[in-house]
Formats: sequence, structure tokens, C-alpha cells
Amino acid sequence: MLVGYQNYYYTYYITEQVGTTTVTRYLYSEPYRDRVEYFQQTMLSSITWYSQLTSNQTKLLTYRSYCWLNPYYPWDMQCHWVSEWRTDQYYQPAYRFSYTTVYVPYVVTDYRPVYGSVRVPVYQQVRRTGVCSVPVYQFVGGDGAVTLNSDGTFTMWVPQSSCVYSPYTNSYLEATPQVVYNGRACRQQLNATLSQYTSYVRVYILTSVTYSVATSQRYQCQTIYWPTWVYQYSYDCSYEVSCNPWTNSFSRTSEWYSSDGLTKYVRTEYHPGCPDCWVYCTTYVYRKVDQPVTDCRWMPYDFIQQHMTGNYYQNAYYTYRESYWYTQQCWDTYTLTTTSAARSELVDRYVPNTSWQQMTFRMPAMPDVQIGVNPGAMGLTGLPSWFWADNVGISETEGPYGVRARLVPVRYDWDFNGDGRVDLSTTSPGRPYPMPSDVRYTYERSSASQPGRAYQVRLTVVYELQVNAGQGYRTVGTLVQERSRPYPVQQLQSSLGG
Amino acid sequence: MAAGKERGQVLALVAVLMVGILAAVGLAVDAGLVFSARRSLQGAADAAATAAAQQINVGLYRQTEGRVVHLDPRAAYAAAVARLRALPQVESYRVTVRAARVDVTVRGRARLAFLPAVLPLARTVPVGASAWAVPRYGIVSAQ
Repeated sequence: MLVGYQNYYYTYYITEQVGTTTVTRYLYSEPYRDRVEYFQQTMLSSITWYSQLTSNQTKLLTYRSYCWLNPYYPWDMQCHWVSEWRTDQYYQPAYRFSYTTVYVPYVVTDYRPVYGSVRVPVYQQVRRTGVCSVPVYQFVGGDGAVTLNSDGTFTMWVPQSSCVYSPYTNSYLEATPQVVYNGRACRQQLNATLSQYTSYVRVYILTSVTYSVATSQRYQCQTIYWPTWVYQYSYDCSYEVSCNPWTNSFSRTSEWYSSDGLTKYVRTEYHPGCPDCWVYCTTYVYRKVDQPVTDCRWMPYDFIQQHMTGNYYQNAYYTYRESYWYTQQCWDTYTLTTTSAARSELVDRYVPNTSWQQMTFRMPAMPDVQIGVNPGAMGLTGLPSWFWADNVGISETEGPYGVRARLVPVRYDWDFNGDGRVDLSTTSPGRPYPMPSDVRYTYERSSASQPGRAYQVRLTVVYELQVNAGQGYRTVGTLVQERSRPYPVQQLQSSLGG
Repeated sequence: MAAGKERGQVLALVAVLMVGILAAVGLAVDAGLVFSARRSLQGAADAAATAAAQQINVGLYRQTEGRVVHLDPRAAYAAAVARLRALPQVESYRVTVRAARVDVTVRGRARLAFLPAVLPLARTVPVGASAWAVPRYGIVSAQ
């Protein structure tokens, strides 16, 4: 936060849908500058600049976000949002109008669209399941794996690219430290991500370190890329113009940069129109901050809970107790204006050794595919057995930011006799009986010599994990699901008599 | 001269013995031909029954998920007849197909070589054979 400036802020939230619950997540606040306040009564015909307010109330009118995945780092998601806020400001009319004695407050409304972009790293939940019997599916598209939990959910294991704070990590209640991937990989990945951005990109890094009175500790951090400029000063650039009787009032804004790119000038002009032949002009000068600004504070755990659920009261008072989790949150502001070496230093400095992240798209549940076969109880040599993948389909979920993810089966690899080799690879799941399936296999020998006197039929379903962040589905990885079932095969002989 | 009187009796005895031996050999040859023909017919009946017992009702087998093995009457009959018609020694046949059994009866004729030449008998005699087969199934050792 900026020191010495008026204590008015725009507060940015992102509303996420968590199942049936809407979670509003605080993003950041910025100083509330160059307010243009319009009188409702005069329908924008006059503009008044205020230097002091008594109270205000900000409401979110519209919010639209567009998110897409970084093709090089598909676990990172880039979001751009447009929001429009309405600020109703109440003041005592006596301050403005001396002739009135009515204390019904006037309402001054400010409609202001807010444009922003943020890089929201796609989260992954990294945790140790400790269950050896859980099947592990190889995550082919990326460098990692996916494990199927006992409750049907999935846990994705991938190397971390950056450190993310997310309300979906319900791990505060766990007292054991999380042993996750080495932070070196995290730093390297984040550094590689940072190198994609041009210079003069300002980086906010929110580092949350959670401590408790026990020896356990957990580190979290959040990285938000937000190009912004720090207000330095302004000067008056008003000038007189020749009066044109048919000129209407209008405003215009122009901005330009200094040759070194470190200074931005924003010039706003207001032409009131005749008979006023004077252009009111102000030029604001912004400059980047070269040193990080850190603002740390300790907060109990339930403060974070309120923070995440939207019941956030900035002035709430908390008593620090023992035997409790406390989180130190630090807002670090840094401007990347030098070479990548400085970026590495930045990453090494602000990304803790152990960190975690979550993907912001929800992992779709993998369909419970079963192997169907006819004749099912007993096959017969010489008779083609019909196979099909039962209960197969596209599984789709919708995660936060409207990001949809789905698993699309794209290939079926069949091993009919259990020798480990793929006998047939199809894109069709086959057709269930009584329809004749196009997936068929004719056994030449009975299964008497097989273990358990039955063939082991194995089906490997290859899914494509596709994520739609608003610009169509894009394949971000491949998941493999394996199924098997025993299949006894008998043979027919004739017994002769007479 | 007793030796002189008995001269020529050996020749008559040999002639009688030759007739007997030839009759015995002829009977043996003809009997062998009859048995051979019957053996051939028995092989044809066995082959037809075996082929017919392989023709199971595939639709029923699939419908019962492989739990019921019944013969397909039409396919079994066709398989047996196809085998029998390919054999020239089979003059007539009868194929009976049931759910799990096939009965085959064939008729033919054996051509005699000796007896019709010396006796007023027919040159062929009728012979026949029959067989039945049942389908056996299960997980047995690999072939």
C-alpha cells in the first residue's frame, strides 16, 4: 500500500464458485484516485471534484472475467477481468450547500469500469496420500501423476511452478508439516515464468507464512502480476483556447511514456465549452517503484477464514492466543526493471522452500469404466467374443472462474489374452450386447493353462484432459485408466458313440 | 499192382480240395469286402455325427452368456448332410438332431467278388452303420 496518500481504496475481489457455495476472494486494493463524481440530479452535466468524503459504499455492478491457460505452462492460468463498480458516497449537504438545512444525504454515484489482469496460477493439490493401494495414473501431458482417492476424487501430483494461496487448501487444520516438492523446482519454474514477461512489470507477491506454537509450519505464497504505476506528482497544464460558440463540453485523456519507460504521464483535459474558453488540464506523473515495499502482519487462522469466505472486516480486533495458528501475511511490491538475474533473486527471496499450489480447474471424476463381454460367463474357442467398454463417457466439471475441465476418452487399448501386449487399439468403445461389437477377439485355445484358468482381459482407456478457460477446450494432458477382468474360455468337443 | 490202381486218385483228391479252398477263399474275400464297406460307412457316420455335434446354437450361447450349450438343428443337419453327400458309398442316410445329441444312420451296398460267380446270388449286398455324438464342453487342457 502507498503511504501518505488518501486512505481510499478500490478493493478487488474475485468471486469463485466452490460447489454450491460462492466464495469471494480478496485480491488487492489500490488507492482511490482521480475520482470523478457525477451528480445524479444533473445527469452528468456538471462535474465536481471533492477532496473529502464522509462515507461511501461500494458495490460491484458487473464482473466479467476471461481466463486462458498459458500454453507453455498449462498449469498457470491468465485471467483478465472487467468490473464496474458503483460507489455511492454520502455526505452532509450542509458541507456543500450552505443554504440547505435538510439532512437527508445526497447520493453521489461514481460509475467506473475497472480493467485488470492477473495471472492466477492453476492450482494443484499436493499432498501425500499414504495409501499404497491407490492406483496411480500417469500424467502424460505434464510432468507428474494423478492419484485416485478413495472418495472418488483425484489428487494431481505435478512439479510446482509457482506458489499460490488458494482457499481450496483446507490444510490449516492439519498440524503436520506438508512435505512437498523441493522449492527449488518451484523457484525455477516461477523464474522461468517471470522471464516471459517484459520488463517494467510490477509484481506483487503475497507471502503468507503460517506458524503455530507447535513445531509444524507451513508456507504459502501468492504471486500476482499486476502492471501498475505509482503516482508521483501532478501539474497543471491548463490553457486558454479561442472560444467557439458551438463547441460542446468534452473530456479527453492521453498518456505517454518517458524514453526509459520508467515514467508515465497521463494528461486529462476538460473542455467546458463556450462561453468558458479555458481548458482545464492536469497531467499526472507516475513512476515505478524500484524497491519492494513490504507490509507484514500477523493474523490468526480464523481471520484467514473470514478472509476467504468474504466475511472480511478490516478493522476487526483479534486477541492473539497461544496454541493456535497464526499467519504472517506480507505484501511485497517489487518492480522488475532489471535483468533476469534480479528476477531470480526476487524469486529466491520471496518464494519459500516449501510451497504448494492448487489447480483452479476441478479435476473431473474419471468414469467408472467396466469391461463388457459377450458371452460373459464363459467364452468359447472359435466363437468371436464381443467386447465393449461399459459406462464410458465424457466427464466434465466446472471450477472457479468458470473454467471447465473434462475428460474425453480418445483411445482404447485392448489386451485380450493377458500377455501384456495390446491386441487391438480402437477409438471406439465398442457396442454392448445384443448389438454386435466392433471390438471382438477369437480365442484359439481354452484358458485352462492360464492362471486361475481364465484369461486376464485388460482395457486401457486413454483420456484427454481438456480445459476450457473461455476460449474453447484445450488439451492439457492425458490420463490413463486401466481395467481388467478374468475371462474363462472353454472349448467344444464332440463325444462319439454308437 | 496196387500202386498202379491207385494212380489218379490223388488228382481227384486235389481237385476236390482245390474247389474247397477256392470256395473258402472266395467267401473270405467277399466277407472282407462286406466288412470293409461297413467300416467305410461307419466312418462316414462318425464324421457326420462329429461335425454335426460341433454346430451349437450361437445365439442361445450368447444370450445365456455361455451357460447353455445346445445344438443348432438346422446347422447340425446341414453339416452332417454335407459330409455324407461327399461320400459315394453312402446311398441313403438319416440324421436326427436333438438339443444335445445327433444320431446318424447310413446305408450302402457292398459289392461281392466271388460268390456271384459261382452261385446264383446278387452281386451286392446291403450294409449299414449308425453313430451318435453329443457336444462336450469345458475348460480342458490346451490342445
